Amino acid sequence: MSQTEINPLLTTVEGIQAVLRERNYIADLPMATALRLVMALRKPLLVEGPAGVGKTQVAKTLAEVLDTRLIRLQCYEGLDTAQALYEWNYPKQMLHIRLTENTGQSVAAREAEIFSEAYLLRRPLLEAISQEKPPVLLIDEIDRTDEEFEAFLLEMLAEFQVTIPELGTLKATHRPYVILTSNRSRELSDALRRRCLYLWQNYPSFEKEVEIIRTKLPGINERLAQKIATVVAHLRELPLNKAPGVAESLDWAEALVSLHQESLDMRVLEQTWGVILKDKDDLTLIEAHKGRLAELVA
Amino acid sequence: MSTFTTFPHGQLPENLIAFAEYLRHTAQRFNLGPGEVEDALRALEAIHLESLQEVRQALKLVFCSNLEQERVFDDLFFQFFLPGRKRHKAQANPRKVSPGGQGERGEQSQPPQSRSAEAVHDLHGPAGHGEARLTEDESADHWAAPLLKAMFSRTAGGESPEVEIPQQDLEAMLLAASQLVHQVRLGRSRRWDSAPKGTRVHFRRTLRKALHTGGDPLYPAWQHHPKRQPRFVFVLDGSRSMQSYSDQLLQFAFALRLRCNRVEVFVFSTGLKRITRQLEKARNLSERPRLNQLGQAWGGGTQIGENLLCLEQKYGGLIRGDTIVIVASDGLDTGAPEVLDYALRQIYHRSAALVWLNPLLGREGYDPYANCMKTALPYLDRFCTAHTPEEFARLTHRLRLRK
Repeated sequence: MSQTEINPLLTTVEGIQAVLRERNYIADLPMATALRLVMALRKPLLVEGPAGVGKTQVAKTLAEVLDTRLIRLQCYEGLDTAQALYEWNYPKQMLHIRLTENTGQSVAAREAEIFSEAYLLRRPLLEAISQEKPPVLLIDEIDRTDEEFEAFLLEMLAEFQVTIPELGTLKATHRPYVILTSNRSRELSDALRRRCLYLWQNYPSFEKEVEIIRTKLPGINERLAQKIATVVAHLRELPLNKAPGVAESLDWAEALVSLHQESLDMRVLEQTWGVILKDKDDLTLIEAHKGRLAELVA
Repeated sequence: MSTFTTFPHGQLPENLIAFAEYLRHTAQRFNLGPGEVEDALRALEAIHLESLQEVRQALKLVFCSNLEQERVFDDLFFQFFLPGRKRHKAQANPRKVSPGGQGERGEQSQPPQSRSAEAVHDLHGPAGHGEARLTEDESADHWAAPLLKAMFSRTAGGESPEVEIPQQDLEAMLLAASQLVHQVRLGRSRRWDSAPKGTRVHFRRTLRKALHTGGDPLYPAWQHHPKRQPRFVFVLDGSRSMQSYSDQLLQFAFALRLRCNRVEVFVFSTGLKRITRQLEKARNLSERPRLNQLGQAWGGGTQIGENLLCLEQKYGGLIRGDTIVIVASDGLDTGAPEVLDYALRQIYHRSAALVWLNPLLGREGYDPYANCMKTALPYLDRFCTAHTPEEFARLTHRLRLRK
């Protein structure tokens, strides 16, 4: 796809920030620059960071901005090419063979039919390279896959083509915008990293978090948003088993708004802990820090 | 390295090549070739060249490929392109805090301190050097107070000083951790699992694969008993008396957690604390891995029996038939031996092996039949000491597993 088909605003970093903001996604300079380069260089972007900082959301928003399809491949241990790339529809093939048994068709003709695209089940990767308009391909939590699958992905990300023995090589009509996310539960190989642009996305700054809360929940008052951001930032400093991410901040803000709370105090905090802290040890730990939290919400 | 730092070269591509060369020779060993330089040039075409921030971000995105490189990139960028203008970013200045120790040991080798002092020196010029010293001395008061408290209080550590995991020689420790994990032979599980080759035909999968070949099972699928993977529970004594040994132990625990996911790490002094998540967090987020909020689990007295009992009762589920429990302590216990005896018996019966690391072992005049070690010895599968990475690697060498 040529650059001219893209919204002219997306050709500058500031423009990308503005367009994403319209879609309620607050992107800082590193993220906006990364998206600019994804569009310009057509290289995959590897986003690493703790859980709940908006890594997946950026792909969804990019698809919205580009007005294109989002194709998502959720990775897990044991994911193989049949689930990620393509698979033949065996029951349908068998049915076709049975139905055409007495039609007098030659074996070669019948074989050609059952190994045609009509009998091909396209999985996310193949789907992504055969779109008319380049889609956004989100390969989510790549660190959960096995090393074999990662090696297979290398070829796909380098050439954007897939070889199916019965059909031949299918080359991407248009290169998709690829975004890979990882929580660093496993070290990815250097070969995969070299094929990608790399971005580390950390928890947002206080100002950015307030802005995110206010953008997503326009009805919330600024003081409450600031209190939420302050408490959440403090919680992230503590050695919690599960530190609250931006998603938890937003859930908490939404919970407080729906409970018609205009401000925070310790009573409300204790009633709503379950929205942001999801581990028994964390709840025990927080008991020791009540004094500091009371100061923060005062 | 001085040959790489000369800038400018004239043309933009030459400067980028020189910068890539410079990055390749840093400690983070950036893996950059002509492809990356070409990408960098294309990236610079796509952004505003007059914006220094955008240029830096674009080069960072292209040249970095992991968090460690990302962390140092900005400093390297400024060092190369704007050597006269150093960034004075407010950096966390972690102090090395040994458990209850004097804190001075090992400080000279801490680069962030010297960097901090250098930054202050830059701000004040040569005349400001004395002030830089003063700043260091003043800040020393902040960390010395909790240490002094730790030294004289039995329940010290209430102020929870940060404990830093040393980075030097971490590579050797990582290698040792890998060797330790690979040496353990637990045999095969009783469970059946799919495998490319095996001892039993996987009937359901064979039928499914037979669909490819018109119902004839030409390609059988197999099952086998998978190998059992060991789990480790590492229990460290963080009391004052273990001060001189804590660096190696923490580094080894960190390395073991990096190399193997089936590792749980606990630290105890007068209380017990699970630090596995903190070690993971250190791996993911911190520039320099460190532990905090250790409370009574660091820098106080030693209550081995009570804490091992707490481990068994509270986290007993983590100790199974495939678990090797490693306790690292000097055995200078102040608690009742009956409690230790009971706790160790429980752990012994639950685990595959119980290893005790004692730093005092091997010292002249040390008698392991004194104090709590006498109680512990009958339950131990291995009683040894380890100081170097090679010695740590041999902890499980030819270790006989009971299950």
